[in-house]
Amino acid sequence: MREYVVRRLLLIPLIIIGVSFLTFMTFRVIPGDTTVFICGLGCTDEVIHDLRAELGLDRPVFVQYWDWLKGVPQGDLGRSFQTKLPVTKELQTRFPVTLELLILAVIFSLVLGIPPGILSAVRPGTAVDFVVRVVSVFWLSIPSFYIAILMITFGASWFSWSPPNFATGEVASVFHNPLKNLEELVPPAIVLGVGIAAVIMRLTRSSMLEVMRNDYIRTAYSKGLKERAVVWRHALKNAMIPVATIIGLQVGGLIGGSVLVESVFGLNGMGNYLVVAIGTRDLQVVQALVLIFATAFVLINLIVDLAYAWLDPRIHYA
Amino acid sequence: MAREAAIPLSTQEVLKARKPLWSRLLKLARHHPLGTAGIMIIIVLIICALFAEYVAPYDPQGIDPHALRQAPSLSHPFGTDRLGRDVLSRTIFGARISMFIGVVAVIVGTLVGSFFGLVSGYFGKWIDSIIQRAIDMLLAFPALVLLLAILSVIGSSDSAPRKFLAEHTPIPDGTFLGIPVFLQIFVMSLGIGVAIAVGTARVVRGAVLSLKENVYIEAARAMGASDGRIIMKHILPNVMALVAALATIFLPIAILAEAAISFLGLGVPNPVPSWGSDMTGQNQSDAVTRNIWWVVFFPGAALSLTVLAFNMIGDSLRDISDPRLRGGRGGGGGPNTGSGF
Repeated sequence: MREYVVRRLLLIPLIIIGVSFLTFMTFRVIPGDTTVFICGLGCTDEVIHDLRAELGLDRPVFVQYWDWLKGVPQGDLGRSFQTKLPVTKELQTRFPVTLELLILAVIFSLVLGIPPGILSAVRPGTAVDFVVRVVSVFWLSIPSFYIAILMITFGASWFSWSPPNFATGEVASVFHNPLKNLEELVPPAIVLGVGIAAVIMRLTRSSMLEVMRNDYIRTAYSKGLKERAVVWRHALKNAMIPVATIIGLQVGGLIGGSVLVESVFGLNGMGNYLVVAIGTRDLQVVQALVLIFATAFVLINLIVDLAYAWLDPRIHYA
Repeated sequence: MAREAAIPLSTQEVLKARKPLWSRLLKLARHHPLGTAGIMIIIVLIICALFAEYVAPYDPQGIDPHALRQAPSLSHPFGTDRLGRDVLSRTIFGARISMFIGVVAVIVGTLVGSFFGLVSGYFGKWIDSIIQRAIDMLLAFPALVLLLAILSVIGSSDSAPRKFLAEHTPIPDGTFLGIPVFLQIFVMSLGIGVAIAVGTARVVRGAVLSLKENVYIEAARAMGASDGRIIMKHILPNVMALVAALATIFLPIAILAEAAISFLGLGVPNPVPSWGSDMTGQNQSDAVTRNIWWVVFFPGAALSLTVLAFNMIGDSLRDISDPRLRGGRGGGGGPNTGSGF
């Protein structure tokens, strides 16, 4: 086990360096010239030349990459081509927003997903089971950004409710003004959590059904335990192992979903920043954000894999 | 099943052994109503996509200054948008764009992915290592982020791949096969296809790894068959079913992906009817600030209904193949369907 952890940890920097190289090359070699985009179509060659020199785009690609990579461990992710400000400065306010949104979404998905899943597995074939299955198929099929739009559209006309920070996109700090912060982030987090909740609901149900067929569950029943005790103490723990994995697998989707939901709610998070940066072809920013998203994704997957072995002692990584 | 029966059959049983096809289909449909509903929705969708010109009552891009922002009525069942364009017609034509991008992306993705998966799994050694490490890198990106990265690079009109396609292939820039801005939409499908190829390659490689250990492969090699022949004659036919299954899983994901990136304003450009791009920009602000809900409601409903149909079909197929797990484990229809779009 320890050997496996060490091997995985050693691999992480390699993957991240590979990802950064891939990201850098993708954004430097394939696309058209950023400078044309910055100074517009009526640009003279001379201006473009100066601009390239100013942004360091006239140097060899590998020199540019090394320059950029050197800065990354020191927290220097480059400067935005558009605003000339360091990307990290912008991220200081945006990173916490996205992180909190993701955490809240996972919490909501667990709350919305696990109890109905258990209920429907314990009473298979009943009306409850049917309702849970229909609801989960619907939740699974409706894209999060559509739910978000409907929420804002009908929220405004039926309940005269609109996201409190819709105009500015500013999100109050969770430490200074936690209530306002939650008021702003809970609606998008619910929207984001619904899709994952459906997956969790379905998996909880099928995993529970499988566990309930085991011999030890029959033993528990036959020694006279109440159903509540059997479900909570004996079945649930084992049924939750695949659920823990699926949450890890859904993180990539959650990150993608956060890009969309932030865009609908106009939240100043990282996802919205990415969309704006792609729209203005601010490749330095896109590059930094893609690197951060990928790194976070790799690290979360590592944590999930390790948590899996910890949750289920039957699993051994050779 | 009937042909494998070991007990001798009586004359009567032989006479009614196999019912005609339609009655067996009917029985299947009765047992799986949700899957049947899903198939019907998809058939309607395909008809809309193929014959949009005849199904849609108006021109999807036709501007009518006398019918701006009209609520749903008999003459415009889904209402009209800020330019007086008929939302129903746009939704019907949106099916064409969605289906086209979905199908092209899935074909490109599964072909490219299967190729790399086959090569990687069959030849092993350093080829395998290189391809698998490359896939590791690509899988390190969240799917939508990878897609946005790809499209931000190849999507613009001055990108190298797009210039290459415009200059060296006969792919037209304008309307083709009833699809406006064909080249741009084709390049988008390629981008989605790349994302699909990554997943396909991994799965196909795994299947090939176990297939090539079979004795009949060894026998073929002993008889002097070349690598090419073994791949084409013995391995490829065996992974075809898997690839087909992957394609059906990826199709709704590709359709969702198109809608998501168009929704972000980075996909299908504005005047072209697309479910994703019709829910964003001016339409979105019309819906929120003026309560013109129908301009975003119907395209989104069409998109959701499509994904729902695929999920219902997927559920039924799983019920048929494994009746013990009604409702199924994993996501709906596939590992990725609940991918947060």
